[in-house]
Amino acid sequence: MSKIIIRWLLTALPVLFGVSVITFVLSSLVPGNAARAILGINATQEQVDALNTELGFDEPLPVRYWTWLTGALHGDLGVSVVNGLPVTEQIGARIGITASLIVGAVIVAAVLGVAFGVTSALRGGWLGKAVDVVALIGMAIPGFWFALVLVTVFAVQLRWFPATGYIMPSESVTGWLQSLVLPLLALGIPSAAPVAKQTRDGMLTEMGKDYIKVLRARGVRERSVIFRHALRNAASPVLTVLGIVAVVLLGGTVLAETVFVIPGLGGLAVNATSSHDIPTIQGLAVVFTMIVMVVNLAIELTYALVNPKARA
Amino acid sequence: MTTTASSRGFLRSLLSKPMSAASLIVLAIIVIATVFAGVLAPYEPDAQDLTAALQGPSSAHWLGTGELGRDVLSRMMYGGRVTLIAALIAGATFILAGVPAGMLAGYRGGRFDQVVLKTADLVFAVPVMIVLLVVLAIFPGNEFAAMAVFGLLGAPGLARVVRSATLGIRNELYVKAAVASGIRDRVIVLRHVLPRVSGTILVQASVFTAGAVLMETGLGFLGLGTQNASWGSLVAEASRNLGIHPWLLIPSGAIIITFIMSVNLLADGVRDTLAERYTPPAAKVRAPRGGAKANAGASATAEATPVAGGADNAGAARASAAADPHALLSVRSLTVTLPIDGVPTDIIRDVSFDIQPGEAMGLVGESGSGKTMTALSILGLLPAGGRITSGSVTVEGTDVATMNKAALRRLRGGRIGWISQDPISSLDPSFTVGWQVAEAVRSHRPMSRRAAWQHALTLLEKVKLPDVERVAKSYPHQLSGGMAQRVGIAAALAADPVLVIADEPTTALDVTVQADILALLRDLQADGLGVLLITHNWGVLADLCDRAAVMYAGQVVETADLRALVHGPEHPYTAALLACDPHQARPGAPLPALDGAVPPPPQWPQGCHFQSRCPFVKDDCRTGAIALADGSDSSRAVRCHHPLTRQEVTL
Amino acid sequence: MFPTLKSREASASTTTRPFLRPAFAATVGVAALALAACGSQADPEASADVSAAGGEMTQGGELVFAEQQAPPSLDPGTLDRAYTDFTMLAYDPLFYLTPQGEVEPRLAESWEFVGGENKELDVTLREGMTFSDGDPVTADAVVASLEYSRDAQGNHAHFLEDATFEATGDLTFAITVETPNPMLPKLLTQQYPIGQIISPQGLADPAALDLASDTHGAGPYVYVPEESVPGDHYVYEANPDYYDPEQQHWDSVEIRIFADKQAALNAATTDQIMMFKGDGSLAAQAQSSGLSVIANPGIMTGLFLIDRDGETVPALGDVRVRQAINYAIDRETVTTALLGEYGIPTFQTAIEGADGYSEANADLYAYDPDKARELLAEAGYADGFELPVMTAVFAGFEQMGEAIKGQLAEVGITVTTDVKTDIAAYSEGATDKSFGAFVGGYDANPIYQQGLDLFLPSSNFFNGFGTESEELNDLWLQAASADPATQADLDVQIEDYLLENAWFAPVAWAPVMYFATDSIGGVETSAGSPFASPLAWYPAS
Repeated sequence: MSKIIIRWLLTALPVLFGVSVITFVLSSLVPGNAARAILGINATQEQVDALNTELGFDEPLPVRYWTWLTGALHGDLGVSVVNGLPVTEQIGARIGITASLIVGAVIVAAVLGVAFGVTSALRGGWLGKAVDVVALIGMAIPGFWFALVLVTVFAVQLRWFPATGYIMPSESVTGWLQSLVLPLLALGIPSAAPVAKQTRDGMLTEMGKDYIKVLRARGVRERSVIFRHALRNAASPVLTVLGIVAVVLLGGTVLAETVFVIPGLGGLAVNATSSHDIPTIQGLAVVFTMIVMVVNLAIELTYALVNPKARA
Repeated sequence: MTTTASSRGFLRSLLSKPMSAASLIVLAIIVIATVFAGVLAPYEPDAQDLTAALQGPSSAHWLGTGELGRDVLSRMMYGGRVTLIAALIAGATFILAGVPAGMLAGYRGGRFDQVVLKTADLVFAVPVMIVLLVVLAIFPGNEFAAMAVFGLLGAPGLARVVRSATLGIRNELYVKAAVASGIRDRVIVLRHVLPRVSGTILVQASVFTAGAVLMETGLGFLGLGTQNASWGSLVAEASRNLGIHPWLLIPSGAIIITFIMSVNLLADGVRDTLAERYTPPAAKVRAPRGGAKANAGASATAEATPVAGGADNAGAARASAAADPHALLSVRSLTVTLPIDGVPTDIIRDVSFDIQPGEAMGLVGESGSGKTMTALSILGLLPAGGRITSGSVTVEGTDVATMNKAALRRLRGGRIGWISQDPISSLDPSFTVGWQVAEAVRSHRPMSRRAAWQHALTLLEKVKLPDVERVAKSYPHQLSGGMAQRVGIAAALAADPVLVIADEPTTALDVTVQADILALLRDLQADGLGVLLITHNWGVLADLCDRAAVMYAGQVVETADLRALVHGPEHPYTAALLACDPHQARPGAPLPALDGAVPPPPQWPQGCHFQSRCPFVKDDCRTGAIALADGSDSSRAVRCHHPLTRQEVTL
Repeated sequence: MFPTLKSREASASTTTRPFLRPAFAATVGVAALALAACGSQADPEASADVSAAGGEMTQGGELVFAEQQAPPSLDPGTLDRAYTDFTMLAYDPLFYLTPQGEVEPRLAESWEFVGGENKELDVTLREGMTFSDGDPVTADAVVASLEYSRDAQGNHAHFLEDATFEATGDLTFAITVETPNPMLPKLLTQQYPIGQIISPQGLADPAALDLASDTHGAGPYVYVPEESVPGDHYVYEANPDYYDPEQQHWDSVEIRIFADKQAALNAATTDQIMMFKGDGSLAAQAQSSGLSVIANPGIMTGLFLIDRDGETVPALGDVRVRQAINYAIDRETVTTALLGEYGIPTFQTAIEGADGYSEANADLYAYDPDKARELLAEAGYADGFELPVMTAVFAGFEQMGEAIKGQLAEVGITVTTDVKTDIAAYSEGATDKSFGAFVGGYDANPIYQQGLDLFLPSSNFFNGFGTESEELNDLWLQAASADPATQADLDVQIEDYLLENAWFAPVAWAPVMYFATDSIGGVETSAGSPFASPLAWYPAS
């Protein structure tokens, strides 16, 4: 266990450091500068210079990075140049929503993917082919396009679900669930494709192995042979795929939150990008990376749970 | 082999796959339409017809019009330039950064290799989308910069793939020889390594480029990419007019999906074609062992329900005698077919033998003689498509063919235990061995988990495992082969079966351990357990069995008491097999070996299956089916027109 | 010189540092003039009839409506009018502009111009009011707030630039201006944040007038930062101490940000929001979905040809080229295509019949592409030239830019568009001389105010290159101090000058369009008040 966490830290820390350095160096290349962006069109050059000094923009890059890093280590990611709010606070208000989207979509992808994968592995035939075709299409469909189709059909035409928005579970649990259905389907269904493919391949491999034959020869119930034994052993690579899916979903939420007008980190990232809010986008880059790292850790730990050899 | 010739051959075999050919055609159409949009497009991309905005398909506008009456088809064609150039930038960066790094890492190894691998690990954890947004926040609307960064982020992944491919080639003999002969690295890499990995690179890069198209259209949809017509901005336009004119979603989505699907399909085709080129052609005919894997694409091993066959088929000459109702197991004229390359083929033909209570019977023969298949058909566990086409398997007086699924399950493990060849791989790696034994117990006896666990411990003690508490909590990979085999035996005994089938139970074990396991089996047999031992090892057989049946190419060729069999084989195959036994070899003389191999089922000859390898073959051996007939005394049977006499054997 | 002309220097000396300070579509005009102009052409749905959008008035519930752009703060002193809906809920203004364009009392109980020159306004406040933070509403407090707004140099501070304020009693104060300004009360209504009054506690730390803090106004609602997510939604609750509970139509208010109009429409048709602002492209769909469409074509939308000296685009320095651009645009077709029945083609900056409208030049720039080509040839641009134009994703400017691009392509002018995604970048692009022209909108205002905003050298947004015309300056100065009849005549002369010199290339009077469900009432606009105020909306059964 501790070995896994140490190994994880050895990846996580360099990645976080790397992402923060790279975004910092990139943002120092910004044409124009932040002070001008903050002060707006009426400011004089003197005011701009004064603010640059005040914000420390005239310090050398390493000094600025150090200042930022020490702040970041204390949870202070700086202040938005667009609305003056602390970046940490804005992210804090939204991270739960994005997290619930990602977790929900991973669950949708896992459930659909595994169900289809197992079924097609056991049944073969047309169902296997269908999973292949769906997986092929699923990997080619732009998520945002699929989301728009879902909105058009299920929200605007059929009115089964709200077209946009996010309802806090504290406000109304049914409302919350309803508001999540379309976004989770939009994110989860395309992500289920690679999961189904991996599950099917993994199940086919496992079902051909010796121990399955032996289990059957021992008279173990078929249900147990398939779900308790074969599926569990096929699960490790599926978990790896789910980890990749979760990372890709992080990008997907940016688009889905735009389509469904959901107040998550993705929407914040798009706004920050279009308004050139460098501190916010920098903070988001770090937080997104942290989310990826946490997902990876979760995958590692689950992997160890499923696979006794990895526990060593 | 010149490059042109080889690439022509490659293209031909690629195009022979209909999916690949179709994808290639679709891609060609898209690329041509895009590149020559200036000539082919019916309108300029920005040409407006303000009076005809947002209209459906018509003869003037095949895909209808968008905002300001701009022609959707033309914008799609021109927009493809923007999208595809952006994707190409990503793909080019991907290759330029990934290939040299990967080849160098794989070729040189050492520290650089470590750096590349570690970088790939780290970059894998970078959230790509947000990094692209950072780039776009800093360089507003500069999609090309974003796509170049996208390529860079993907490159370490490519480097890793190229590295392992290069490493493989680097270790091949001819490359090693080239290195040894002092040819410069650059030349070796360019002449030998690059051509071999180029296919892999092509596949990776095209899949990546398809991903870049998805990314570009996403950025275009968010309005963060280019502001010119592009596939992404077409979707954005569709999204703006979703309520008024949902039609726009169709062409904009269809072009993206079609393009990406075609690229992915083509990449699959290229991958398959490459695989065909660099692996030697697989033997067309596979031995029935592992038949499940041979058919892995279609379906996994499924339970095959035995079918009672009425009439004997052509090959079965000996009339089906009645099963012995007092025997533990009575196999009569068993014939089993399995589809091989789609053709139903006999893999077991006319097999008969009995096992009495407490008796140990051996089934002996070379690999591919059908021993394991015979055993599997007893349990109704034939590979997918396998069926008993004639003959019967009777266990304790009940014909297995009449059993339903539940009865069959009770038979397996409940009446007949199974001990397999490779003890480690026949245990599920994910569960403790105690749990697995307990599961076998609970599969046949309703009892609590705790009671089943206790019973499992008892069973583990019974198979003479030391420190059963600790062993029970171990995972298979933590056990030695011998211990694992004892666990396997314990699981086989979980429901007190009357018969165990042991399929080469000692083959995978060390010699000293073999003896221990055999001793254990002997003890169990002494307690009244019937044993069917499958082996090709006369020593093992002699250690345990009273009687033996010799199998060759799906048939029992001789049955007899073991002593009689060893000292006076009547079938030439039995004699040959005995001669090969290293235990019988004379010291100092070369180890005798049996020339040739067992013919696979589709190549079984007319007449005697052993004819092609038999030193005593006569003309009458080559026609007609040969029945299993009584041998020199009534306790033995042999399938031969010219059984050997004792003199011939000693000769 | 008038002090207004020195606004640049004045703003340069201020030291306050508001976050982001964009200028947007500038100012509201004199009610009477615009009313006269527009009434007859307004869409039937857009009438002043309250029943147009909603049924019987009720009280209570939650108002949920959408805005397109998120505010950078909640400081009325610095915010652009584009965000006034966010502040007016919490900060009551001195005066209230009704949907019909009339000025009514609010914090001010009564007011009058004294001295007959429209230079001093005496105001009396209501008794017994308090700010939501507990401070009493006194003349001193109001004066301090107005002084803050004047000095904070927001986008509308120039209205108060020459104003001084003096408390004359507990509840009375006087506003004195150097230039006569009959529009003063209207400029201090809820339509401009500068008229919204901040409490002394709030003024003690203006930097804290942000989105994470409580508001300090005397308005009917208070902002609830704990329940708000800046950039996504903003929650307000009824202010229990509000002096006029009848005006508190709702228990709470939520403003949600929808950058995408289509998403807003989807939300409205599924009853997630009650009201949103949009443009003509959604009208048909909105109507078929059962939404009310409230529209008044009061925003002059089109091309602002700002590089009139040819600094960055030499061709624009030639008046013939600017005229050619005006001839080249088929305004009827573009208006119909983009705005449908809700737009009115125009090339003048004044609405027909209103102050400054030139009858003489009523047909000056009738669509004539041949003439445009001729003029271009005469100017030496027979082969056309490249014109970089800035547009933006909001207010339909992007589509307008694309349409203009198509029109100008016909006469050989190649327009390259740069679409800005936020107000800050848009403001910067208008003033940093990177574009010879941009697509924008400006509402129907009298020529006096147009001078301030559009064509005097000091008008920083719509005159980004600071083009200066002695003739125009003189005319405007004369008109400002002339008697009404002479003034009307001078205003037409100014319009003629603008037209003949082709300073602008307007395309149409475009409406600000409101789409409302039937659960909301009181959403209405008039030419005198083209922007609907959430203060006026009420729950409808």
